[in-house]
Amino acid sequence: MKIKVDIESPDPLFAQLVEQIKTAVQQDALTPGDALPSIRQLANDLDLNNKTVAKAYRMLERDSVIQTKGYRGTFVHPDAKANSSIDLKSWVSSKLTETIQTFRNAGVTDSEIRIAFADVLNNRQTGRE
Amino acid sequence: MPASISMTSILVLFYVIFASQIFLLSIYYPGKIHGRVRYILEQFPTADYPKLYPTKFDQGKADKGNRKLRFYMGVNYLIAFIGAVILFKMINSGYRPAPEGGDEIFVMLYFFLQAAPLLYAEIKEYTYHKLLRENYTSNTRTADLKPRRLFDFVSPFSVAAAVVLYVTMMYLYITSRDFSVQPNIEIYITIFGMTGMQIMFAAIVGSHLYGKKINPYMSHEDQMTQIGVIAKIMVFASIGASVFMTITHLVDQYSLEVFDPVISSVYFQFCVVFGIGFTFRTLRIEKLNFDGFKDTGSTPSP
Repeated sequence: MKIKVDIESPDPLFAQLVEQIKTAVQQDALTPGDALPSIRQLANDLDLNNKTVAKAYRMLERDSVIQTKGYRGTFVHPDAKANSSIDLKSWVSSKLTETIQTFRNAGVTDSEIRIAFADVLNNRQTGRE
Repeated sequence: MPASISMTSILVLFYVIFASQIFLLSIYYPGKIHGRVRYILEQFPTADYPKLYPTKFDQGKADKGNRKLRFYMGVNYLIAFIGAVILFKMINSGYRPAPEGGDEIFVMLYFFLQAAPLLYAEIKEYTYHKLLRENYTSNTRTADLKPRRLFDFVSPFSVAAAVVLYVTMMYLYITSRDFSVQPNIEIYITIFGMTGMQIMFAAIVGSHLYGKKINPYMSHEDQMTQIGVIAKIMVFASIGASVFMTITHLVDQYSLEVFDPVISSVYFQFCVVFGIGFTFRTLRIEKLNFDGFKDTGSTPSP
């Protein structure tokens, strides 16, 4: 199974990796338990920064598409096929559209929404730290 | 020296092995390198394979390249001639290897002289690949979504043999030295030198297994073959170094130092036959895929 990234694409590199691995899982090119290359190997093969591949692996692990088993390596999750069909991006989009529409109906301006959104996001980030 | 083996037999053995060293390292393998370069220049011309020539390659450069090739072979023939003169002088002067050893240093020095053009070719290859990587401008990059592991390329038995032989060699060496009486720096140099060499072999294998591609235009299949070749060579090199050190140690223990020049020469030839020879036999130039070097408008991702 080959993976291909386009460095000129507007999509971020880590997102390309995530999408292709999810697609491979959905098309059964990758099946549960299959081993994946190490971050270093994949980063070197694609001539990418280790952090880019690490970020893609983190996202896939968060979505339970892959799982890391310590020093043994990274493997496709047993429920990877079901989990890779969940599109978090479109879920976030639809939820935000719904919420923004509620604010607009209440007469809140877009700039007020933007400022409030940034405040909440920044507070959350500060809270994380 | 064992009474059952005459000095004449030892000398004949040494002369045959030394002649073999002269031939293999200064005529046979340089000839093979020369043949591979010529094959590439003839079969993959700059018009069809422009990416194979990272710098502007015109007739002037081609002539210069041919002159360099001829010079390379000339230097090797000169070294072979020097070796033949040394051999002839030895036979004529009634040379006898020193019973207490030490003569292997001459074999070693001559080997270093023979290895100099090979080292030069190796450095040139390294700078060439560096230039290829710098000029590689593909927008798309592909990789195999499969982990590479050492045992995909080399048998666990060979790796185990390399480890066991290294441990045996170190055990024999350390137990035969009295550290309290002989706080000799040479002992520590040997121990750290041998251990450092094994670490270097492992690091080379690791860098090829997980590191960046040496040649960005190389096909995936050729890359896998190359990793396999490097892994096997390094494991054999480790086994060879341990066996050589063990034999050298046993030779010292049983006062057989008269064989030292023969053993050294055999070891150097082993290194070349299992290094360059194995690479050339496995990565046959006729079977390598050069399609990645073709001009396809944009740089293809191999």
